[in-house]
Amino acid sequence: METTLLQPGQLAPNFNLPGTLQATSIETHQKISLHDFRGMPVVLIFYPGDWNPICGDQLALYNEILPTFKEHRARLLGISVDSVWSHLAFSKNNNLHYPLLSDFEPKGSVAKSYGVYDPLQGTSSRALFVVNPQGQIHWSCLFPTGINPGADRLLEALELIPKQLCRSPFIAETGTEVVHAPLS
Amino acid sequence: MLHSPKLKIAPNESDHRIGALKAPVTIVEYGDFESPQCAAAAVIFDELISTYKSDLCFIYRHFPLSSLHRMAEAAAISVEAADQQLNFWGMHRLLYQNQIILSPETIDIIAVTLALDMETFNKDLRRTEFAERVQKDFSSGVRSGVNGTPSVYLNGTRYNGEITFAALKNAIDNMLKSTSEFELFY
Repeated sequence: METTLLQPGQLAPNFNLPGTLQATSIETHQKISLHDFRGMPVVLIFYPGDWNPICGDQLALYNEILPTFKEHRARLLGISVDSVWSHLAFSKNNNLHYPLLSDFEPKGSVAKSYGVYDPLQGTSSRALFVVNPQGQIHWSCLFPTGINPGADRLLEALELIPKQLCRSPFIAETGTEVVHAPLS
Repeated sequence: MLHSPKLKIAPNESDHRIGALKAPVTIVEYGDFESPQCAAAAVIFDELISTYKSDLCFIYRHFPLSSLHRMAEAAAISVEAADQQLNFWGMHRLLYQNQIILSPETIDIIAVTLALDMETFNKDLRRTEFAERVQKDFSSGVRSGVNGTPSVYLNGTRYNGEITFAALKNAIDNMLKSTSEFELFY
């Protein structure tokens, strides 16, 4: 399958994946769709796998600067091919306060649609996307698997999205309140 | 191509440092007192400081990952409070050496060991400017591309190699060599 990194200006493919939306409850198969976040910037964090130390550091760093992302009215979604059960344990272990989505079945289908699936490893590559409030790719970057990309360029990309294009951070397109409960 | 971001805030007089700002090589570490990797790196930095003496300036900036490390921010504030009694590096060393038992009680015991005035120390722990200082370091780290702890910058550029004595020595030797070649040329 063609795996070319989606570029700025292209429409961000929608997805509907199970995630750690309500990690505090037994219901773990709550699905999360990209369309839920229309009207606000979305940061998609594709990463090779839970429990990989570099992924742990990367996701913990973004968790630490959630207030900065909130200032930009941006929502974060982590995506890997791990199962929801793995995500739950990993998320709880790292005290993460944003959802991790499971691109588990069909394996890596969302990563493939964004051009960031690594068929040799059978995982997602390490890649970041900023999707603008209109649902287009605003910025994308593929990183070496062994290097944590940090947050500097991600924040610079977010700063280039005019704030007036963004709605209130917690209101989805339907007007329904979207609450991502932190893990206990 | 590997991304090697640069420091957004250059080394300056307000930094905690060992060595002169004019030294040919400056290491800036963004560290977290609860990170095991930072504790291991502290030993390596001590060795580098002893090896390079006046050729090296070592700077420590705070980067506590507070949601992962419960004591990291309190520890960072405690070294700022110890700095008021001119004991930043003593507190820094003992916090890393006692990382596995890090707690508010451990911080107290270290302060007593360093013979700090405890009344002043405890008062200083509550001073908001120290928490702000820690936050300022953290923000400068995020903007400078800190991607984990420790993150190390050599002469202002993020070092992406291994944090071992041999690897850092090699990088520093190359920098000193290019500096001396530059001086010879001019």
